[in-house]
Amino acid sequence: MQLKKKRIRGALATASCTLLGLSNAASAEEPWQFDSAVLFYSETDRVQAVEPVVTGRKNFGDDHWLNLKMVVDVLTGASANGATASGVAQTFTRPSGKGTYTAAEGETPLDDTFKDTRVALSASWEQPYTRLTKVTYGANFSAEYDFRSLSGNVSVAHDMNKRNTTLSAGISVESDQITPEGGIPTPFAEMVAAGNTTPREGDSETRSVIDLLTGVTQVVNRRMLMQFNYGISSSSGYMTDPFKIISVIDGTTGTNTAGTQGLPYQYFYEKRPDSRTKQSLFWQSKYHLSKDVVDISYRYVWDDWGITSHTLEGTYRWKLKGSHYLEPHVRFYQQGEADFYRHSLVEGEALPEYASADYRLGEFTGITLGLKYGMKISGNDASLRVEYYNQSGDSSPNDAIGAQKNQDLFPDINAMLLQLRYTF
Amino acid sequence: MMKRFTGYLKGAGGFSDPIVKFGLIALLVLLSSGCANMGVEPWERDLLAKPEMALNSDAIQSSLDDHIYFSKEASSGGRSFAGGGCGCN
Amino acid sequence: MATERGCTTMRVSALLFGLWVLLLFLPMSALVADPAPSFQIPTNDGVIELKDLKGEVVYLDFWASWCGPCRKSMPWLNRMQEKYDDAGFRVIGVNLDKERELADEFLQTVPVNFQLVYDPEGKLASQYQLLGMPNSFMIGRDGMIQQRHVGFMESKLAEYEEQILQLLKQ
Repeated sequence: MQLKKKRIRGALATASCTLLGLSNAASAEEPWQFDSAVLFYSETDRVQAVEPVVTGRKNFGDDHWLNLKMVVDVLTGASANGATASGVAQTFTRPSGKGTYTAAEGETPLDDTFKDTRVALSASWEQPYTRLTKVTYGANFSAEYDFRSLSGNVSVAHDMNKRNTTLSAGISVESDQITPEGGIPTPFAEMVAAGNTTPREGDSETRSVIDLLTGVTQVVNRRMLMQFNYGISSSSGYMTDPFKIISVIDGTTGTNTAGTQGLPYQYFYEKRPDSRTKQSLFWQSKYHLSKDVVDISYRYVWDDWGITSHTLEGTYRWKLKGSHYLEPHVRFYQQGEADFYRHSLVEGEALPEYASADYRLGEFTGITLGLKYGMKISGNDASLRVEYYNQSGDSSPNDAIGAQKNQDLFPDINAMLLQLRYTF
Repeated sequence: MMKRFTGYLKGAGGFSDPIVKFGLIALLVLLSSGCANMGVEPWERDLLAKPEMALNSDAIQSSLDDHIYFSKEASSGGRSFAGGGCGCN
Repeated sequence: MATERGCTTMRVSALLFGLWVLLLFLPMSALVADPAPSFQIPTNDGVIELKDLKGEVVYLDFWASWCGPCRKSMPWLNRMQEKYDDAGFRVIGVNLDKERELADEFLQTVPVNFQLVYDPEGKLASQYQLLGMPNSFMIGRDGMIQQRHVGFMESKLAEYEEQILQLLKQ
């Protein structure tokens, strides 16, 4: 088995060298290094995903590296559509316009038409520019039923102070195309009954993102490494989620207002600004104790949608006998809501400029607790990781009206994750 | 104090404010120049050379996690992975 | 940005940036054509000193088990030692591992045919003012450092061999 693997790797090496027109002599000795993993993700009553990943990495001599990656992401299950739970059963039209789905009394409406497979491919090339400077070029492509994305990036890293300090800067440009089933709904249009025509703005929209990231990495002492990054990201184009709606509520009773387009109740499609500028500050530190390694990081993100967030993360790699290790992981995430986040709209009130009831733009706390167990098997890394994620927000906000006070306006999300990894 | 700082940044309009811009440049410059005497000799990087001391010791895991949090939360990115390691060549 | 405060901000930023760029060019290394600092070499025939090797061309290579390019350089060093042994060429490898077992483990998988010296505390490395890993010094027959190379690049092997030949001709 080992010999066969070596022959395959050798053949791949020769083939790729010939393709790149590089000298076969020394580089044929360098085998491809593969890393693979499969992720199982499951939210209680909601989304399930299975995600296998494979990466291949090869040194073409003198620190010239090629990295390739392929990810397949299979999603099933249901996702919240933005409408709030109500004291009555609710009916919604599927995005295709050809069917309906329902939510029972007191149940948070979930759209289960949401089934998709995504494939993503990435490639990057890394090489020295001078002895102390290295350059990386990369490209990514991802496609799923209603979404396509293409991006390119370049980054530079320069070492100073006997390579104790590294300055890095990178730029990434991305272009996305969104072609949702049923077309692009008119913002703030009312959801219509199945069989009728939803007011549409067209079949597809685009969006582009430019990212700049710059940072300093510093070796503090023999045991400690530290990193500071500043990033700025500017997106423009179609930022709205075409599948998300907002419940319309009576200003006195807090019950759903009657629908005017064939559905029992009234829901409007959301509307977000057509641009977003997001900035981040990130700090990470790694410390090597006598045998164990501690990793702590903090990130602060703020944007022009009014969202601010704090992420505090810690990992402790506890070295066991031989190559075995146990690694607990904790992540604490706190997010403030977007300026235009609304859990619902009030009938009769003037429509705001923008509004979204997407919980992902709301105020919430996310806590992750994880544990990973790893070891080497015949020189290859193998590991098993299990994590639990809980997201909780304000279930009873102060501005809940009447009957709304009996409902959970920000249900918790609980998810479990299992990851298996093997390098070869 | 965090609230005042975040409040200031919000009001300042972020990066476009010259004070914020200057502060960030100064921070990066000070960090890189003030760090001229910090660090280790090239032969003292035995621990830093270990794979578990790399800033991105599990690249696949980081990217899987990034994707999950990108779909569940409004923040993303911020990390980079250059530096550290054995410092060879 | 047309404000006076904006201009001052830009000027101070430019000054700081300039200072930072200057720092990049600070001289940091030992000059080439310095006499090679002497040290003790334990051999099979007892302990000798580097200065006793005047008349020979010495290739002094500092390495460690955790250094990837060092691993790649060993087969080449072995070849050079074998090829120019009779011409008065001697490779001396200085190991900088803090734990001897790591060096021994490394040598099990990558055996060497040249003399080794152990410098776990890096005293010799400090004397030679290493700038990176691996770091090699070509010492001429006169005991002076004639070439210094930081890093090991396969693309430069022909050049390194040329330099060895030049020194051997003297």
